[in-house]
Amino acid sequence: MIKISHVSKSFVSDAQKVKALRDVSLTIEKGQIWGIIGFSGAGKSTLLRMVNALEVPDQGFVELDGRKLADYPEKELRSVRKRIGMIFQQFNLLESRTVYENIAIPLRLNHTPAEQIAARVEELLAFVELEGRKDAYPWQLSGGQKQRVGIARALATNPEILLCDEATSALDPDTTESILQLLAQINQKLGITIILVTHQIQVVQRICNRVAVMENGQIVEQGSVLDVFGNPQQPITQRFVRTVIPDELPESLVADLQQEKREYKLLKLRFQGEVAKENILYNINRRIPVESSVLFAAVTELQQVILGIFIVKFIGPAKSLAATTEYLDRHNVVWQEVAV
Amino acid sequence: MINWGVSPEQLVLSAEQTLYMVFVALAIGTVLALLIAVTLVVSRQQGLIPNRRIYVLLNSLVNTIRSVPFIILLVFILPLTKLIVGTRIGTTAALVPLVVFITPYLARLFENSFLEVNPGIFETAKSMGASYWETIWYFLLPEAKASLILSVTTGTIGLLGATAMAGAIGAGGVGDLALTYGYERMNFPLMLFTVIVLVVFVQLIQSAGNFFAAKARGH
Repeated sequence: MIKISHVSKSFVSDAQKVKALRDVSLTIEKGQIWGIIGFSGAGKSTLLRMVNALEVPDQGFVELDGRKLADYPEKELRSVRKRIGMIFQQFNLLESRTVYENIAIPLRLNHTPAEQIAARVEELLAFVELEGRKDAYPWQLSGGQKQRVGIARALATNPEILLCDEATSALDPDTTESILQLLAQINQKLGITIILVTHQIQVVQRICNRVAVMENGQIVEQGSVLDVFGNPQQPITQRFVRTVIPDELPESLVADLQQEKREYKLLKLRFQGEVAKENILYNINRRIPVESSVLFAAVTELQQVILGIFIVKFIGPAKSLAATTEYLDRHNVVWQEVAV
Repeated sequence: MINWGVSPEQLVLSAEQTLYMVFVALAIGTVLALLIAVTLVVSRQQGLIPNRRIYVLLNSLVNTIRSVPFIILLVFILPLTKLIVGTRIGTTAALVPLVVFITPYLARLFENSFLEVNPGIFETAKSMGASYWETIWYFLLPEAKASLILSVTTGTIGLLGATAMAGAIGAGGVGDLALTYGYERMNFPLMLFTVIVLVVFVQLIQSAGNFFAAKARGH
């Protein structure tokens, strides 16, 4: 378990003090995949670097399995870092070394015997699907292959945690997808906790089960991907989520609504999981004297759970509209009224 | 038959003297320069272990020695030469000023080679739990290797030029041969011959340097 508690950090750049982190707290359980999302300069990379003590907090503390990182002497801290793998946006491979040598470095740092290194590197090459490329140099590899080498290198010493610093930001969409699949596999097969920092919401949507949204050095929203994506609270979260799950009415429909003379209620409904499979709208129409008209719908799958967002216009007398919202509440449909 | 004005033995001897001065000074100079250059990049403000005092001290020392022209350095440090090798003249005596000359020169070239290394490598090293020493040994040196080889090549050629002046303290060598027998005796064929020998030396050194640098880069 990783516990980040009330961490603040400032940097001095050009004689100006920049607050990179302000009172950030986050608890990461074993086996989770956390996505830390935010625009550049939000402090997400600094937060990530707190986990392996590449950055040290000014205030607050970081705890790993119940022990504060600050309590470790430098030498022990180095062995802690060996239990935490890290991959980077620019891969940071040694350009003058072959794929084999790059992956072998962490093992050499551990003084692993040569035969064991050879066996482990072959195993890792197979895992990241780079068999037969061990004698290639980084300049002969594509971006995706370089990141696979980076991943193999990070996994060489069997870490418990993998930190990914914008690991897919320099890759094209197809390559990003294959790297994300690999990361998901690492999490499932090896049980490694993954924390990834990104500005791409698709990355979070694709593989994370937890998300923390950062802005101006603070975590403004955090929770399960399903909850945060299903019901984003902060404007910045809404901005991010909207790019993958739109939830706003098109302009022309808004204009039509302003012409509506009858009494109506505009509701945004959120169906999640099993609820999404029930015939809620059908049942409402059958039981309550209201007309319903779906103005907007978006359905997506997150963490193998169906999430449906509907904007429905219910038309009818006030009493029926009240009965409708009551029915929704009873059937665990999250709703909110939309103002036009 | 061309009159070289010197015996073949003398020609061979001066070639040997030049090679001796270049390679011994180069070997010692490279080791010292590596130590200085590593210290410079490690102690600089953005380095692994920033230390302003050490950086400023070394940096000024390198600059100071590099400002003195070799021919002046040669005679200026004669007392030091005497102290170290016991004599002020001869081929071995010339090694002291040659080392003093080439060390800061190489140190500066090496420093540039190190600064070309992707800084992300150091963070990567740290994230792997590498100690400072391991970071230098497993990350900095291998990544700079190709560039270091080219720096040594440039340094060797500079050193070859400097050996010509070492004749001033009786060190001999090809350059001295050209000056004393070629220039002063107005022996043009000998002059031409020594120039050709030096050109060939430089070409060989540069080609070897390029070859090993490319090899170190994995090309």
